[in-house]
Amino acid sequence: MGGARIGPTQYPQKGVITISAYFVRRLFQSILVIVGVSVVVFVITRAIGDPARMSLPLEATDEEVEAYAQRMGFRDPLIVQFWDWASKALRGDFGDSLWQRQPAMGLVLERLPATLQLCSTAIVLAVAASIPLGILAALRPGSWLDKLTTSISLVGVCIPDFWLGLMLILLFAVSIHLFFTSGYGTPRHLVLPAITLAARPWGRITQIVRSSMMDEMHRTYMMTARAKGLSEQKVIISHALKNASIPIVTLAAWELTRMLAGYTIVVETVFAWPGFGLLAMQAIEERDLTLIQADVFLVALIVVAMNIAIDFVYASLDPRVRLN
Amino acid sequence: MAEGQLALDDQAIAYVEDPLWRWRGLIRLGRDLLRDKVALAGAAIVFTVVVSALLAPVISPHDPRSGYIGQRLKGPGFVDEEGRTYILGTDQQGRDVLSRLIFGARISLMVGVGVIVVAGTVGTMAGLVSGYYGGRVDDIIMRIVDTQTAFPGLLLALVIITMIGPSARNIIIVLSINGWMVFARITRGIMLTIREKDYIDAARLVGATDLRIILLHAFPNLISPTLTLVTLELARIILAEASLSFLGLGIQPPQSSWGLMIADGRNYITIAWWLVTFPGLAIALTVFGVMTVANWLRTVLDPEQRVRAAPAGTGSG
Repeated sequence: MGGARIGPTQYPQKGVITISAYFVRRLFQSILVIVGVSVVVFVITRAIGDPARMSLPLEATDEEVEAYAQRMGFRDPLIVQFWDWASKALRGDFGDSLWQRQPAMGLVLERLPATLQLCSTAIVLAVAASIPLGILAALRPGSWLDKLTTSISLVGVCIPDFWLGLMLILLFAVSIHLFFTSGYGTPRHLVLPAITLAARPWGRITQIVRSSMMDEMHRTYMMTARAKGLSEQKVIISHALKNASIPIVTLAAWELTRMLAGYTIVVETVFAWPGFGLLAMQAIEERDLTLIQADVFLVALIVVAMNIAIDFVYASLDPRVRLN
Repeated sequence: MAEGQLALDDQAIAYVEDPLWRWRGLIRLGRDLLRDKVALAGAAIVFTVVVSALLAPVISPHDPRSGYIGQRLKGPGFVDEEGRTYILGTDQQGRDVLSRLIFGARISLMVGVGVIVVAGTVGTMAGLVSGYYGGRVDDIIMRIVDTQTAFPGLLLALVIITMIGPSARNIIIVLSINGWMVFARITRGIMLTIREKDYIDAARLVGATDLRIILLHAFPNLISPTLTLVTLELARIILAEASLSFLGLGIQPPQSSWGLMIADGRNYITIAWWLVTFPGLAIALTVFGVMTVANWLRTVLDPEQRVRAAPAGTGSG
């Protein structure tokens, strides 16, 4: 924040200029992030080890490896290789997957809906379960409900997600055959991975709902609202919760970004959920450089877009925050 | 001068009246800890894990690396023919699960401490330079920090570790690359506020070098916020190492790590629940302990509380 705070009603034009200037700067930074990530992955996958040797079967002879490397251009200077890759990537061509022999970006995009479905379900679940619990805890600080909420939200944060997933499989799929251990398609497939992925954001969001609601409960506007004769329910929901919503929404969006930025990989691996996290893991196992590169590029793009979205949501929720 | 003299006299009087005065701060901390049940439980867990890690060869009941294949996948409480008990059962190769857990604590803590040392040093140095000099240097460092914070960290870590090969040392490198930015941010923030303080100007006036100012005058201000950050980061790193090892890109056999134990036990989940359950509990409890201690430290080391507890001037090094 910092900088001059300009009220939106006082100087509308100036506010608009700030936002567009902000947007330009943010766009520049986003490009920097995407280029940076691409360069890092490119350099790491090609400079360390021999990409040709890694892509070919173990029994390939040195001559075969050399011929393959020449054909793929792995012996060109790194900067030439990168320029080659980048100029094609800008035109939407990310090369063919060495493992699947299909356009790499197509393979990644195919997996996008599954990951989006899993992550959005998880975050909705986390928010829906944390808000009522956090509010109830904040209403009676020190009560048994508050203590219970505080401790189980901490448990949610401490539990390793892959272990939680396996425990849920053990309980609900192996012992009582209620849900499926792996696979994709029906809501019964979605339940366990979504709960697993939701645990950590649920814990963190519950904590922040509780603490920001407790802050708001002592504000003078609460007294005013009560003095006006509003019902307690209305005071809490439309006054306190509304004002407490900024950190809650920001954290939820940030947790969603974190999932999409790669933390689904573990959960997708445990449940064999066919998203781009599992694809990244498969690409890594197959040493499929083009597929890794395409997958990381898409993830970087999503993260950057989410970060910009978070800033705009933040600014639109809090009129005091001007983007600069 | 006079005030300094007075402070010294106060200390002398305090010493005569109370021989333990030097330890009063620590004693008060201990008393606070005893009162806070959750923090006490957390500290007890952390203590247990640290002791297990340090004394692993002494306290582990069996050899963690070798087992008798004939007694594989025996449940918790199994007693072999020679009357030796396997409290938490045996794994797919007949090795004692408890012993492997105890040795796993070593790996977790070693990676955790390694990352804290590397990332903490690099990050704190970057933050100090950034905050102290400001201007162009600050712009460049903070731009790097911002850009790298927006990187998909775990995914990049996986790619890097695949290329440089999975090992404890490489995990430390990769997680440090991922973790130095938080230290840089917090250090820079603090440096920005103390840069304008009178005592820094005074130090500069009497001719202190930049290095001396940073080390002697700025650094002590960093200790308590950094300590809280270190504990929080430790929890994060333990989870990250477990995830990497679970995915097969972390600690490699024959070393044992909690994440690796879960990955191995996964294949036997329907017939041997203990193989997955206990290492997971170990991770969750350790992270819980570390986080509780972090939360407690944050309230105890809060500068405002500290100012109220100890009047300004009684420097504590």
